Amino acid sequence: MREDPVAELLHEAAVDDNVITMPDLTHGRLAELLQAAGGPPQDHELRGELAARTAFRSAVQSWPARRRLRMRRGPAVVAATTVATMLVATTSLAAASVLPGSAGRAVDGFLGSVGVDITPPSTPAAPPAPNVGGPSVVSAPALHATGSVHVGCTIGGTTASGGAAGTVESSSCVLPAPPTTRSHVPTAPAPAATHKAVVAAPKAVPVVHHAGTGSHSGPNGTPSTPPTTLPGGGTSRGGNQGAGGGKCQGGSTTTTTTTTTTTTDPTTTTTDPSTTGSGCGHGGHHHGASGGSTTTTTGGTGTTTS
Amino acid sequence: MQDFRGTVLAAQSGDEEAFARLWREFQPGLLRYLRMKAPTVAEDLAADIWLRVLRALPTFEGDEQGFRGWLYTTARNRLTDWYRNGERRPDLIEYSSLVLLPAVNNVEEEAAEHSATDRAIALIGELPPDQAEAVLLRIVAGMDVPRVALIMDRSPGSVRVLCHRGLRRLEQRLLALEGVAAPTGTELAGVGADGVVAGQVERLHA
Repeated sequence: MREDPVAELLHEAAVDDNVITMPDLTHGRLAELLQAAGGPPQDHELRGELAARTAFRSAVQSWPARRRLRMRRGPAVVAATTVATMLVATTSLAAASVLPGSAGRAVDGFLGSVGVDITPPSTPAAPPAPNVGGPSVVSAPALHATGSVHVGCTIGGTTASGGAAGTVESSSCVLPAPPTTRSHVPTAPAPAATHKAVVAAPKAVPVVHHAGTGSHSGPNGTPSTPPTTLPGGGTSRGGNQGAGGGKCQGGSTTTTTTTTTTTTDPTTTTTDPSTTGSGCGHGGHHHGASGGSTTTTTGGTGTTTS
Repeated sequence: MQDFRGTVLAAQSGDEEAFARLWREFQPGLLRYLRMKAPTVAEDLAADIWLRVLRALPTFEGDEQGFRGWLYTTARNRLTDWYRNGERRPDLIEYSSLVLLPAVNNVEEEAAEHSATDRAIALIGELPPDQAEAVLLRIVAGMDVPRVALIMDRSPGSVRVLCHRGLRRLEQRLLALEGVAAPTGTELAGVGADGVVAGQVERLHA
């Protein structure tokens, strides 16, 4: 900001251009005149403010949306982006059991407070975490007629009755147990068996269950083929699992056999009813327990093992 | 202006209050500049200039001096268009129709509005155009010599000389006016019209 434009101008005028003699800098009238010319705004000069505001509102509508919303690398944007990135990364690492024990527990605690259950795979019998989105859902895997373990998925906290044991029509979605428990099929409603889930997005994905039919709709309301299963032997619960917290949006039944973990693209959803051993066809991440879970295929990046 | 950069960023994000602060800061100087150049249409031109600024505001990057330079460059370009397009030619009205037209202004109110600032601007406007513009851009617009030189397409030294000579003329003008009685409100009513003030002052001298 300029200190005193008049004084600056008078100082510059002291330059003798060899043609006109220097002005009398002590002459008060000249300084007064210049100060009056550059004086504070007057009322009649600010009369058009309302019209200017109206013009601004109209102009904003015509600005490109990206620019209108642009906050050029503001500190708040940087901070928010950093926090979001760290949250996703930490959650992914926690789900993959990569974090050290203390860090993993801290992450579990934090995510549990927001309704996301990520329990370590080594505790398959751990009690279900509080479900922010609704009642905890537990369902027992039913023995498939062929002998393979069939599990259903429960989504969004709703519990479907599912079919009789051995049927595939269960509409509850339970993450399969680790391979070590493969031969053991708990009959009692088990508490949440663990599953590794990664919530890629905090947004809840509403899913509609049609009990008994084994079908349910994905977030877009499109009915998907039932039943849905989640590898890993755990139980999905909570509401915010659309992007990989074990929420299924269709897909075929899963046969858990081996161990693999995969992360998938949370934005894509695929269903592959014809593929045995494929997991839930939803665009989320889910992982089996370490050391023995199956993977799921979703999006386009997952792998299927059977 | 305090926190100019933050104000501009907020305005670029659609903050109306931020834009209003910008407008209140720069509009008076812009109006005074335009009143010197085109007194009868100063407000219309100012509104048009702000529309142009608004259109390009999202792409502006710079400091306060840069914004002033951009604003007054836009103003000069608009004035050039106004001159070239013949907009300055007044509409011809038959004299006999004048008596039937209602008064569009209140002379007393206008006289009261015209303060020392307006008189000062009018006096500066009596200078040769380049000298008047250099003095006005330095004092009223608040720009430094290099910026004024850029706008006027002159060298900084030339701008300084123009300012110097303009000040000398103003000083002489003031000395000449000192020996004359202060103009009345009626005579001041013509301030703003092309050459009216100068003509009336000359008559006072005679």
